[in-house]
Amino acid sequence: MTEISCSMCGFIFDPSAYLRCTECPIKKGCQLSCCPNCGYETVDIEQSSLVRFTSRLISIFASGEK
Amino acid sequence: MDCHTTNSGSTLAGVGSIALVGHPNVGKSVLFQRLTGQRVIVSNYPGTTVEVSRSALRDQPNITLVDTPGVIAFPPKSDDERVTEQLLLDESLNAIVQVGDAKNLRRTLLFTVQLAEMGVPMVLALNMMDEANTRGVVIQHQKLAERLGLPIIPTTAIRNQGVKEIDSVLRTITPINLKISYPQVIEDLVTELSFHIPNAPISKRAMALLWLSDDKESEQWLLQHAGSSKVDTLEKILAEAQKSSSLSLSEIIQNTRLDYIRELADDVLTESGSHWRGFSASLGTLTTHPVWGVFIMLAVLYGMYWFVGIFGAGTLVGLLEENMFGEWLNPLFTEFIQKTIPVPFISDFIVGEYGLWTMGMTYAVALIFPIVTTFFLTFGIMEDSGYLPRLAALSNRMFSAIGLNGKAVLPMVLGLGCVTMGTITTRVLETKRERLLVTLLLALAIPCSAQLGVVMGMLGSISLAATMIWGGVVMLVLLAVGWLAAKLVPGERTQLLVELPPMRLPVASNVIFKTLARLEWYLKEVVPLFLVGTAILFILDKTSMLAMISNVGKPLVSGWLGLPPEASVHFLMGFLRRDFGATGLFIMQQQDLLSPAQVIVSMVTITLFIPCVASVMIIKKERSWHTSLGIVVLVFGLAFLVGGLLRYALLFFGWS
Repeated sequence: MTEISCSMCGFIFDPSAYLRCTECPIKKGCQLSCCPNCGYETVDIEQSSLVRFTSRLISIFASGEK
Repeated sequence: MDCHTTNSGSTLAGVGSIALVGHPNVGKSVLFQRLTGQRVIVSNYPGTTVEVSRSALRDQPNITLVDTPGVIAFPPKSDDERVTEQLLLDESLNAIVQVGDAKNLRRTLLFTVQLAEMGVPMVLALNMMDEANTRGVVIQHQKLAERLGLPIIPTTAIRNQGVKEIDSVLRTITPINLKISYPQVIEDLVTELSFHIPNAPISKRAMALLWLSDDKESEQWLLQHAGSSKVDTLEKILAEAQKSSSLSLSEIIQNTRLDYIRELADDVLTESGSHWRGFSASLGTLTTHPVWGVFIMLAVLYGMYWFVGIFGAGTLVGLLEENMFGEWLNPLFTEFIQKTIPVPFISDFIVGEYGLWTMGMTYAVALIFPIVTTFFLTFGIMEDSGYLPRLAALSNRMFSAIGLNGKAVLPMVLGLGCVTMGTITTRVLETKRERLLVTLLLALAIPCSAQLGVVMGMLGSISLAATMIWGGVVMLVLLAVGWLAAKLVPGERTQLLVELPPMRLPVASNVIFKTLARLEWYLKEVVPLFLVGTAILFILDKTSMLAMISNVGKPLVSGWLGLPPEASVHFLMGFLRRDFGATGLFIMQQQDLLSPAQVIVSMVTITLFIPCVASVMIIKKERSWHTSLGIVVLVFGLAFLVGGLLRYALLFFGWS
């Protein structure tokens, strides 16, 4: 379970548990999740391949330094 | 079968049922499994498609435990939440077990108070205690239990910690008698309403408070159990009371509960880093102050203007577009393509005036990329520091001060999301008329943050005055739309923020990762559309239709808006995405084809356009083809009307 915290109201939720996006025509590749408490759209960094790539790079550099 | 009267004061014994309730994702299902561990019956709640699980308690097989759908608070906003409330109103429960998130004590307590007021025997399981401890959250749960008058058990359900204690407490549990002191107007109403409310599985006081909070489920329950004439009487009492109060009754109730919880949490909660929290609390108060808050907001907006407009759209775009693409990449790539592809039509399609690379990719990478990067970085800092919700709270207060209430105002205050999703959420509105109106207002004036960032950045690189005029006009249109929405779609404003998260120093990794994720999302959405737009322009150019479009658009674009005829093409591309149109207009400004006044007029007009082709698709899906066409025509007309009026206003004030 990946939880994210809404940037607007601080509500912590699991984006996969809220399926309001399923009817959005541009959902493919979309990394935004709608907060079930206030409706604000929060970016889900776990969905981003760019974030995963950067994290891997950082960990490679970090392990290299050690 | 249920056989227990909740308000009898007896302890839990014999047969009956217990409801497991709480916010979504707080570990209810895990606790349900721990407490039951036997055969589970999953069935739709009567009259709904929402599933509810029931199973006998492991150590008390005559007692059924009901796992209810997650609730944020009452009144319910979704079908799932409605089912949980129906269950509480319809089933004579032996007890309620609230599963709360120990990490979010204030939010948990807001729901605890609502449940405790119901008078049903209750226990609060403060779950995820291990995570709370790791984060330095210390809760004096015994003191909290004394103050609330109900048993509180710290649990980590996933590790089976505290589960036995819940089971044991459930054997001796007694009804709760929590009474918060509401303002006199509410207390008087509760007393009066209680005379008319029949006996219910929850206390009459709780039923009256639900009714005063505009709760539809309690209204339905009263219609069924008290009859329509009684409900009419209650409605008359309510209408009379509302007349004498400037705030809605639900807001008064909510604010009283929030004050109570704030004081309660301060008394029992300790979090690490209290020195910083003192400073952060003062800063947080200042940011929402009616006077200082506005000054801080202006300072933040100026910082944003400088970083996005001057640095992003000026310095970085200059480096990328003029130096990297203009002087190096584009000439090199053009030469390579022209040599390897000797067919002029194909090479033009890639590196010509309307080429996929020279226009589409250059727009996306050299122009849009630096602007959105700086914008998303600023936005990430505002989010991570906790300033963004305070900005929303400040705007909310400003909107309220000028009388903008009503359900339709909420999307305006949020205002930073995607119009496409906003259109889907209009389903929550009750009538077809309301849904249609809010859809129109969303398409007309609700800004998408990314697109606003692009337009603001481009204007920022021109001048501060231009940015301020653009911002002022867009804000005026927003306020006019909000006023119209409040008149046409009346109703109580939904509570925007339950609780403001604390102000804190932004964490660099959070900001950077959020920016990267947003950039990826934005570029994935924008680059294909920019390439499609460029391909359309290429075809129009090759078929000599571009000149025709410029001529057709001349009376409107040149005659009314006072812009060069070539701007017609960019307005046409604005239908795909308004930031694509804006980028074309920005290029015209860079080529000295637009004066400062023309830039402002064109940018205001394009900002008020339909946001993107996806939003039109979803309007069509949610409404119909003729409705979406009508909305497009209306939005198009209003955007040009405002643009033209602004042109004459600028001329009047000496702008050329």
